[in-house]
Order: sequence, then C-alpha cells, then structure tokens
Amino acid sequence: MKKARHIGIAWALLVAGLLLWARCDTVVPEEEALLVVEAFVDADEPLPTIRLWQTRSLGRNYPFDATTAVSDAEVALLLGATQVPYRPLDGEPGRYGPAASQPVPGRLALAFEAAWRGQRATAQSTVPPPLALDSVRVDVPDEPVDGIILDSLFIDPVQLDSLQLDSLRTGAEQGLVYLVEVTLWWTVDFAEIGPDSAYWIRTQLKPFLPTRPTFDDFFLRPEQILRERETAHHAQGRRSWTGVYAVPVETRQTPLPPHPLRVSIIRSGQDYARFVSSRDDPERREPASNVAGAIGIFAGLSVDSVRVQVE
Amino acid sequence: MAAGPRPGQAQAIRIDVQAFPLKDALVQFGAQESVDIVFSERQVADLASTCHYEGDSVKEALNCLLDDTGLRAERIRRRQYVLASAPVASLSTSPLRAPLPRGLIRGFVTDAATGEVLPGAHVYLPDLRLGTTTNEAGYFALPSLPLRPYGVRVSFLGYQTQDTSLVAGFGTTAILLQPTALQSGEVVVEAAPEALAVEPGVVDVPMQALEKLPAFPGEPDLFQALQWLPGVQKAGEINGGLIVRGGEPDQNLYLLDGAPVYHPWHAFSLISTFQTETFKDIKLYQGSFPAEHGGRLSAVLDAEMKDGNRTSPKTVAAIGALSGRFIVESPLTDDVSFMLAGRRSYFDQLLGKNHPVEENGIRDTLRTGYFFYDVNGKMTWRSGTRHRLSLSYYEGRDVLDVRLPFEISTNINEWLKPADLFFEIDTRWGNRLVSLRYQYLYSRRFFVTTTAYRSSYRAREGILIHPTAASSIVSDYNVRLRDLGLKVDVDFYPSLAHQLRAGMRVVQRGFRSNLDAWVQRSPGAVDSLDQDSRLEAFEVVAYIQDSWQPSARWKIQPGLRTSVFSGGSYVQVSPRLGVRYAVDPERLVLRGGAGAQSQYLHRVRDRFSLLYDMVSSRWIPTSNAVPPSTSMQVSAGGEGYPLPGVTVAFDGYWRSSDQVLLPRDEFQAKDGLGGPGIEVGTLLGQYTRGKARAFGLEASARFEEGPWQVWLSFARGRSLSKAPELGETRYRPNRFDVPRAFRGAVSRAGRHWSFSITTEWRSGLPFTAPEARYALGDPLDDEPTRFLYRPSVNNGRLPPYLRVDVVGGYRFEMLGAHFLTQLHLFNVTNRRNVIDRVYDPGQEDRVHVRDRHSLPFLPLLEIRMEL
Repeated sequence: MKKARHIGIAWALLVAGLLLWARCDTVVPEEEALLVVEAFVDADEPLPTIRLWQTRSLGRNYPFDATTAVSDAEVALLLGATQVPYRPLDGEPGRYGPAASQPVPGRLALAFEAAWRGQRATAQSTVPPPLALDSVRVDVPDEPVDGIILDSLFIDPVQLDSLQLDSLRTGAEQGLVYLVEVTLWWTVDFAEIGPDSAYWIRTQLKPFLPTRPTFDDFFLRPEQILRERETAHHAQGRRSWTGVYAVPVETRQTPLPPHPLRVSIIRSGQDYARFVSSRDDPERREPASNVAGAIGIFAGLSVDSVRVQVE
Repeated sequence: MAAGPRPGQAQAIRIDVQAFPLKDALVQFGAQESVDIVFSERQVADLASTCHYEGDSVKEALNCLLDDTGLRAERIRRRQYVLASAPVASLSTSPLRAPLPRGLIRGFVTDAATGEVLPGAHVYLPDLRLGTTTNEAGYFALPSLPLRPYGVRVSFLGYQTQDTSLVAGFGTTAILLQPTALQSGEVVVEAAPEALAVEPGVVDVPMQALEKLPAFPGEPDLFQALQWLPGVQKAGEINGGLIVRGGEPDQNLYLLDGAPVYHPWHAFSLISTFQTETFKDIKLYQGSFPAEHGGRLSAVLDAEMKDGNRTSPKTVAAIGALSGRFIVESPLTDDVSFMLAGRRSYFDQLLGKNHPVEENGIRDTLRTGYFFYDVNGKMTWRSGTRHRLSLSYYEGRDVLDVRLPFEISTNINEWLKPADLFFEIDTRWGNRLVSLRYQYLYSRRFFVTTTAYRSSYRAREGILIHPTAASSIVSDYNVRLRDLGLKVDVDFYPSLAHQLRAGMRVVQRGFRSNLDAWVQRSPGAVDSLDQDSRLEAFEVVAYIQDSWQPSARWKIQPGLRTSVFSGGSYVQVSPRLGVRYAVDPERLVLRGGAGAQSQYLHRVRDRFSLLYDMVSSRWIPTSNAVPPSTSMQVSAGGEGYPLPGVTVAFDGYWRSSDQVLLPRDEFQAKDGLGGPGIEVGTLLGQYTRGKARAFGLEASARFEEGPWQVWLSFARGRSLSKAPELGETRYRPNRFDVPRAFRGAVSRAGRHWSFSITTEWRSGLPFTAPEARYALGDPLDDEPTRFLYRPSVNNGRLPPYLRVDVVGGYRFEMLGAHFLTQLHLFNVTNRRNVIDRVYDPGQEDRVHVRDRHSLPFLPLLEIRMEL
C-alpha cells in the first residue's frame, strides 16, 4: 500500500513537471536603429561618395530621404596608412564626400570607419587591379523565335500546397522574342593577376526597352557572377563572356525595336561577390554584409561600362 | 530460528527447529536473511523441517531446513534460490555433495494463427521474476534452472498474454500466441495486468493499434503511424523525412530484414516504402540503441518482413486514395512458406500516360506519367527447429515521366495539342535489396544468425526543356549507391543472469554519380557540364553486449561497438549502456540508457541548381576532409500501468552531436538553372561543420476499454545547432525544432463499424523573421533596394499547427471475403495552418506579409478486401 502511494506520487510529480515545462517562445523585435554602410571604391577613379542609411522597424515607411539617411556620423577612410576624413554633403542626406579627392590605385588596401550613436562600424577591403572592356559584340538574329512569355515560370507554391487545382495555370503564354547575344572581351594582365585569378567578375546586360520584358530571365543570362578564372580565355590574356537577353515582339515580321544597351563588368574580391549574389531575393534574404559593428557593404571594385545602341 | 551478524564477523545464521512446518520455516528464513526463495505451495504442503544449523552459508542453512524433505535449494542468482526435487540417490546422503542437474527452458514463440515466429516477445518467469526476449528467430533460452516445472508468462504486443508451465531441461518448446484482434473486428483486452515488457532504448511499435488511427493519404503507412509516438514527426505537414527526437532525417537508419534502405519514400516523400501489413515486427531504437545497432546518430528503424502464413493461404487486396495493393501469403510445404506483397499507384492509369495529339498535320505525344510501385517478398524454409533459411527481396521505384507544354491548366483541352515549346522530365528513383538470412540453433545455448545482403539505391533525373525555338536545356544526372554486406550475430546464453550477444558486420559501399548537362540559351551561348564521381568505402564493425539481470528488479545491458571505416581510416569506439529497474514489475518499470554513436555517411546536395539534384539523395562517405559525425546521448524514462487499462510511458533525453554538416548559407535555395556541379568537394563547400544539441521530454498514455481506445502523446523538446566556423557562438533552433507537440486520438472498433477522431497540435516551425528594414544600393543600380534585416537564423516561429482528422470504417462480408471500407476526412475543420511566411520588403510603404497555408479539408477513401 505504501509502495502504491509512492508510485502515485511519482506519477503526479511527473505530470506536474510536464505542465511546468510547457512555456512560450517569443521573438523580441529590433527597436534600436542600426547603421547601414554603402561604400564602393573604384580603382583608378577619384575617391567615391559614401552613403549611410539606418534600419527602421517593419511597421514604418522607408522612403529614400533624410528620415532613413544617417547624416550625423563620423566617417573616415584609410588608404593604406593615410586617413581621409569624410564629411556630410550638403543637400544630399546620408551622403559623405572626402575632404580631399585623389585617384585610388589598384591593389591598395582600404579600411573604413564610422561612428554613430555609440555604434562603431569598421570594414576592410582591397581595390582590385583596374579592368577595361576591350570590345563588345552584339548578335541580333534576323527574325524572332517562338518563346515562352511569362511572369513567373513556376506554379505558385502557395496555391499548389492548398491543392487549388485551378492554380495549375502557370500564366505562361507562347510569344515571339528576339534572343540578343552579347559578347564582351577584356584583357587580363597576366603579370599582375596571372591565369589563376582569385578575383570575381560580375557582368550585366541592361537593355532599355520601351516595355518591361516578360521573358523570364531563368532561361537567359543577362547577368552573371563568376570567378574570373572560370571565364572563357583566349590568346594574349583575353577573356570573354557571352550573355543573352530577350526582346519580345508582337509579330514574326516585327523588326527588333532599336534600344540602348548598357554593358557592364565589375572585378571584385569575394566580399562583393557574396554581396551581389545574395541581394537578388529581398523577400528571402538580405545581402551578405562585410561590415563589423553595422550592416552593409564596403568593397573595392573595378568597374567598366559601355552603352551601345542595338538595332 | 535466529540470525544476525556477530561483531567483526560475516553474517551468522543459527537455526534450531523441530518438526516445524516447512513453508513457515522457509518464509521466516527468507525474511530474516533477505533472500528470495521460490517454491510452490504444492511442493511444501504437509512437509515439516527439523534442523540445527550454525554457520554463515545461506545455501547450507537452506538445505539443512530441507533435509529429508526430498527437496533441495538451488541458487539462481544473487540472494535468490529455487526449491527443486533432490535426486533419489542423494536423499539418504547429504544433499550438499552432488549438485543438482540443471537445464534450460527454451523454445520458439510463434503466432498461433499464421505460424510466424515472433521476435522480441517477452518470456517471463513470474516466480523468479526474471525473463528474456526472443531473438530474430523467435528463440529464447533461460539456462541453468533446476529441473522442475516453472510458471511461464509469454507476452507480445498485439497478442494475448499466455500463462503456461514449462519444465526446465525438457526440450525445445513451441509457444503459440493468439492475436488480440479477432477476425470479426472485436478487440480483446487483457483483464489482468501483465508484466511490463520494457527494454532499454527500444520502442516496440504497436502497429495494430497505430494502424487504426488516421493517416494521410488514407493508406496504411509505417511512417505515418510512427508519428503517433512522441518525439517522432515528419519534416513537412504531409511529406518530408522523419524527424526523431530533433535529429535530421539523414540521421535515421532504416533496416529491412537487416539490410539498409537509403531512400524509403514514395511520391516525393508523401508516403513511405514500408507497407505496415507486410511486417511482423517493427522496432524503433531512439538514440540509446544497443551495441548491435549503429551507423546513425538519431534512430534506427528495424523492420522484419513476415515469413508468410504457415497454416493457411491468406490474401489481402485494397485500393486507396493513391494506390492499389495486395498481400499473398501461404505455406508451400510443411517447411516452406512465402509472403508476396505489391503496391502501385494508379493516378497515371486514370489520367492516361501517353496522349497522342495532332493539330494542323503535326503529331506529337504528350506524357503525364507518374507512378510508384513496390514489391516485396520473402520465402522461408525451416528444417526442424535448428535451421531456418529465408530469402527476402524488396524493390520500390518512383517514375515521373512527363512531356508537357508550358501553358498547362486544369482545362486539359486548352493545352493538349502539339507543342513546339515544352519540357520533359524523366526522373526515376528507387531501392532494391536482396537479403539472405540463415539462422542456426548450434546448441541449446548458441544461436547464430548470418545475413548477407545487397542493397542499392539508384536515381536518375533527366530533363529536356525547350523554352524557345532557339534554345534548349538537357540534363542527365545519375546517382547510385550500393551496399554489399555480411552480418553475423551470435546469441549465447551462459547463465540465467547473463545473455550475451556479439557480432560482426562487413560492408563494402560503392558511390557513383555522374552529370551530363548541356545548356543552350541561344545559338552562341552554350554551357556544358560533364562530371563523374566514384567513391568506395569499407566498414567493419564488431560488437558485444550483455543482458545482465543481477536481481529480479534490475536488468543492465552494457555493450561496446567498435567500427573501422576506410574513408579517412577512422576508428570509433562506442560504449553503450542500458538499464531497466522494475519498481513494480506489473505497475512501473524505469529505464535509462547512454551511448555514443558515429555516422560515416553524410547526405549532401547541390543547393543551387534546379537543373539537377531535385529528388535524389546523395550520400557521401567520410574522408580525410570530412570526419564522421558523432553524438552522445543519455535518456531516462519508464513505463507503467497507473490505472487498469491505462498504459503510460515517459522519457527524457539529451543528445549532443559534433561534426554534423550544416548549410553554409541557410538562405540559399535552389533558384537557378545551373549550379556549381556535383563533385564532392564542390558540394562540401556548401556546408560547414557544426554542433547540434537536442533534449526533451516525452510522454504518452493509452487507455483501452472494450472497443474503445484513447491515445495521448506529448513531447516537449528542443533541437538546436550552431556553426562555429560561421561565427555562431550560441545555439539556434534547427529548422525542425518543435518545442511542444501534442497528439490525441479516440477510437472505437466495433464488430462492423469503427471510427477514430484524432487531433494534432504542435508549435509552429521556426522561421527567420525580419526585425527591421533598410536600403542599400549597388554601382550598377539606378536606385537603392529595400531589404529586411534578419539578425539571426530561425529567430521566429510560425503560429501553432492544429488539425483534426476523422476516420469512419465499415466492415462486412460478401462473397466469402472480408471487406473494410474506410473514409478518411483529413483536416475536417478546414483550418488553414500557416506552414511558411514570406515578408515582402515592398516599396516605400509598410512591409507586407504573405502566409503559405497547409492542405484544406480532404476526403479520402480506401477499400480493403481479405480472403
């Protein structure tokens, strides 16, 4: 009888322990504004302006004006061992300019410092060797081809999960598109970079079309981020990259609408490559930051860009 | 009669009785000396004892009491003695001179209805309060017992407990257990409580009870049923891998007749490849597994296929929401029986697989084929009681074969026509295994089980896409994994208190993957990728384990497992310990365990490409660069009958894992056409080594009364991880971290009608919640982009999940067959649970939140026929 009572007490303690252990999890929202750094230093170019933002809670608007800019920070750039103070630019909230401008040579080590409301942001980077486009070739087919025009190729997973079978309609329609191929070349200084370049290359084709293209970029390649050593290489240190974009037209007889095209290439280190490759889906993720004590990006780059008219 | 320690001496015993009733003398002696003397009333009736003894030997004192009674005391275990008849020749002489002959109680436990042997059945001697469990062949042995009859209680989940009397040294006995579920559908419930069959570290899955509960999509499925155990859940609402005590899906080992199954899923992980009705025994080892099992950190599921009915042919046919299935089992001769089961989905048969179409003189054939099938069979040959040979075969496959235009919708007439622009998917994956097992009763004390197997997993993903007339995408990705294994297990029964199990495993594994991809975005922009990866690895394992019952209350199971793996030349020594303590053998048994585990295989996949690696599991062995994952787990709990008809189980656990692979970028999702490829080094670059921790408390209660059954389970736990290489200093929730989960079910099974109503409530899954918003520009952008600030991974939690399902069934007989029709009502309240949440950083105004919802109300029907 005594043992039965003990066993009963053990059961009761067990149940009580279970109930006590059940408690809630909570997420504490971020209230304090954080400093956001946006600074890109281009090789062989004068010192750039630097932009500082601040975070805001989710329930508030986020305009690009003085309410979201940070204009009262102390900012400085270190070029090697030389410190260059930055000052807020009048009439441009959040923008800071160097006290004295000077070109930034390639391979220069950089450091960034900013102080704001007790926060201290620091970051380091290196300016890559300068890069320049040698030539750009645009290939336009004689006539458009059949292509799938759609806003999003994929079935909406929200609706698919709900088994609302009507939503199997993908919104895809067959239309006509010109597939415009663009090849760009640049030369790598082997003496400086060598065949196994550790740098990254970002390429981008940006056509300025009268209407927004509806051919999904998924099957095209208007932009790419890759290691420079993985790009196609040719004689005398030349490298190339080919991209494709689409221009939709109404009929098979419609000629390609003339339009400007901006062709850009950027050489960078890994920090910028991570930043760019992680900033294309703002719903799912934020770009990778390389700033300690704050968020944002501070990167040395080498940018070249040409604008051509495609006809 | 007096006894007591003299100062400075060993326990002194003094007996002085004259014509004293023997029963009273024994009871009094047992109480004074704290020894357990086992005898029957009949043995000592009308006997008297005359004894004068002074000394310190319990046995001598006992035999003095028994002098001239025709009985002798034999020591069984420490402080436990059994009375047995003394040999006639020794009656007139001192009973101390010649030891009494001893013998075994041994035999096989089998299903009375089908003749199937029952592994894991409990054989218990209530008088001695000790017992054992049957091995894979249903064999048990209780050695070193004085020759006399003993009361024996045999129990097994789903069967009526049987009390019988067996004589030690008599020979091999066959014990037949009757299933509790009768043909009519009535459920037999034990009136008297039985001894709790609790073994350290293992859960005997009560399939007969679990099968009655609702399961999506309305078909009997092992993995659906397992979710009724606390601490077990699926990764997704209806699909995804199995999560056991906060582990990852790839930390579970699935064994089918001793051979591993690497991808036990059909229909994109909607249902498992395990048909519950084809198994005779299913065991789930969670964390603290015994030494014979290993190779995974989280759990081992050990399923044993039926041998086939030995008494009469039996056929089951059924059709459910997804598939049709059959099971045939029958004796072929007195010694040979077989079981054959098959299942195939039929959706492709309803919709049609090939659709020849013609328009404007152009012919094409569109395809909408998806199906899965599995076939498993087993043939068993028995020669007497000593030899048993079985051959098991399993093959399961999924095939997705479609050729469709891009403009699909539910109005099939709109798009069922020749297509210039289309996509083709030819993807197939599956497992195949052959296992040959020979079980040999070498002697009464030695039982040897030898298993040789070949298990393979193959997947092929073929894609052909024509998004424009000038571009095409072709990809062919193959994954193969093959195991050749040999296992030898030896059961040795040296004494009543010890049962040894030792064994060896040798496994040779071959891994091969190759990718051939060709992407033409336009005539001048072509990329190709041709990669091939081949790896091989050997693993040798040796283990030894003792089941030691030092007293009636204690069972201690120490073990040691040593493994050597060729990939990286790793040697791991994994100690194991399981303990069981019976507070009251019929009301409360406590258990505990601790053990180290190691896992030499990692599952990785390319986290970028949509072109390949969509459904395939890619296992890679450890190497110099990737050490094995290791873990240490301790657990403690118990099981008991607090009230008549109520079974309660509770467990707590804590597990710490090291060298687990975690994604280097949690936010990376497959969203691009191409990826970095399939080379092992490239894939491993997407992961980092990390640490994981899981701890929790689980409780379940089952109440049975007549046709009623109530089932409740509750789990409280955390599953955390951190990646020090990424700068994480604190543990964060894993993607499947569920702090609280509750399941409840009420069911009634009558002669014709049955119903169940179940509910599941659990914490929402973790997700990464933004805490603020900011903007950033880029040198090539015209204006900045707004982003969300997510300072830590999995810092938020979705709303709690709640679902109620109902199943109604009607059983009837027609044309000599037994029919069961079941209607499953999934999510009867049509509650739209939130299973994912997306934040749109939007434009200037506020952030917008979009929720992804779970399945709505769904009715599902299954018809089952049994001959």
